[in-house]
Amino acid sequence: MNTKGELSLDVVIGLSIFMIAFIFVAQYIPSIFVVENEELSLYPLAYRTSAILAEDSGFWNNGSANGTDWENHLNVDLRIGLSGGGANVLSVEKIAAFNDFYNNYGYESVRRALGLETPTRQYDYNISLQLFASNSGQVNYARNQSGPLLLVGNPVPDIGKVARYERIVAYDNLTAIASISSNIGTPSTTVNTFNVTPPIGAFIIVVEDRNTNQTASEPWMNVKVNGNLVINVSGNATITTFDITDYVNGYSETVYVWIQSHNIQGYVVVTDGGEYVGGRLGAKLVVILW
Amino acid sequence: MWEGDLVPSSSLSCGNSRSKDRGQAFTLEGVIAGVLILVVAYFLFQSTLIVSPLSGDIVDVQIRQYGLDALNILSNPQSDANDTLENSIAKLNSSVYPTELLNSLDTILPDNLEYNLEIAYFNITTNQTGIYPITNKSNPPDTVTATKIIVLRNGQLVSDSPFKVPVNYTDIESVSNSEFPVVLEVRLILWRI
Repeated sequence: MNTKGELSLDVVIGLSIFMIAFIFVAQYIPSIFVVENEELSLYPLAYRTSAILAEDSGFWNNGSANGTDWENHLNVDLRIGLSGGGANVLSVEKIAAFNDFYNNYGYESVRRALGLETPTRQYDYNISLQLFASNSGQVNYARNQSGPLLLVGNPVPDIGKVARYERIVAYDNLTAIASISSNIGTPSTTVNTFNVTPPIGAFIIVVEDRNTNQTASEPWMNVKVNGNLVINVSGNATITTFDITDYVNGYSETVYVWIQSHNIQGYVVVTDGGEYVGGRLGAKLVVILW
Repeated sequence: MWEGDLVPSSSLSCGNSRSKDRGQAFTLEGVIAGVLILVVAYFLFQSTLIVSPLSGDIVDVQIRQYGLDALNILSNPQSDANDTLENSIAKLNSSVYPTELLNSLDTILPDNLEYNLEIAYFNITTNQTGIYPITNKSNPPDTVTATKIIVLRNGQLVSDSPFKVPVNYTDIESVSNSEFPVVLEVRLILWRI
C-alpha cells in the first residue's frame, strides 16, 4: 500500500494529457460545446429592426416629456423609427434625420437607438434604402442630388454570418426626394425642357388641376422624348399623373424631354430615390446585421 | 527491496496481502475517473445544441413579407394611377387583363420569385365564394401566400365585372346598389425559382 500520500506519476501524466486534449477539443470545435447558436439570433433581430424602422414612427423621452417626433429631439434618449403613418409609408423627414443622427452622433449611438446593443453582445449593422432591382451583387442605392438617401453603418463583411431582411416601402412626399422638381403650371401655353441621363428611378409629370385661363380653358399637354411624341392629351384626361420613366430609360445617353402644356397646374419630378408604383414612389429598406 | 512494495494496491482491498491486486477500485483513480465523467457529461448537457430547423422557415418569412408589402404598396384608394389594386380590379372583366398591375408587381418583387395572383369573392347570386384567377402559372407544391382585403363600391366596378352585384339586389341593408360594398381578398401566391 502506498502510504506516502502522493499521486503516482502515471495518474498525473494521464490526467494532464486528458485535460489538454479535452480543452483543445472544446476550444476548436465550437459546435460541440456551443452555448448559443449565433446565426439563429441574427434573422429575428434583422426582422425586428426592419419592423421598428418601417412600421414605427420612433419615440423620444427626456424624462419629463416625450413624443414621436424624435427628428426634432436628437439629443435625448430616442428610438429611431421611419414610419410616416400609413402602411409601409416612410416619412422623408425622418429618413433625413436618421442620416443626420448617424453623421453627427456616430455609429454607437445609432446602435443603441435601434436596440442592437445588449450587455453581452453588440451587433454591427448596415441599413440603406435601395431601388427595387438592387441586390447584394449589384447595389443600387436610392439617391437624391447629394448622395444615397439613407446609408448608415459599416460595410458588409465578405465572410461570416450575415442576416439580411428587406421591406418594401413608399415615400410620403414626391418632391422632397427629387433631384429635379419643377413647376410646369401655366395659365397659357409654355414649353419646359429637361435633359436627363438614364437610367433614372422615375420621371413623373403630375397635373393636378386646370389653371386660371378663362378664355381657352381646355387644358392639354404634349410630351416628346428625344423628339418622339409620347403623350398627347387634352381635356379631363390631362388631369392625372403621367409616368414616362420607361420611355426615358429606353435610351442609353442623355435624353431630351420636351413638355408643352396649356392651362394646367402641375409639376415634374425626376428622382433616383425610388420608382413609381401604385401612385407613389417606392423603394426597399434593406437591413443587414452581423 | 521487499516485493510487496512494487505492487500497487488499493485501500479498498480486502483479504490478506496475497490478493492485494485483485481488481478492486483504486480509490484515487476511481474518484478522478468518476469526476471526469461527470464533468464531461455536465458540459455536454449544459450546452444547448441548437440544430436550427428554422433556417428554412426564415426564407419563407421574407417571401411572405415581400408579398404583404407589395400588396400594401399597390393598394392606394386615393390615387387614380392605373396600377393600384383598386383601380385595376375595378376594371377587371373577362377581356381586360390588368397589365399595369402585373408590370408593377414584376418591378417590385425580386427576380427570384414567381407569383400567381387571384381574387376571392362572394358570388351573391349563387351564395358561394369563388376564386377569380388573374394569372395562371403552374406553381410548385411549396408556396407562400400573402393576402389583402380590399373593399370597393359596387358602382366602381365595370358593368361586366365578375364581382358585380346585380342590379336586382337593391337596398340591401338600406344601401343603394351602387354604394353596396364589395369585399374582395387579393391573394398573391409566391414561390422561389
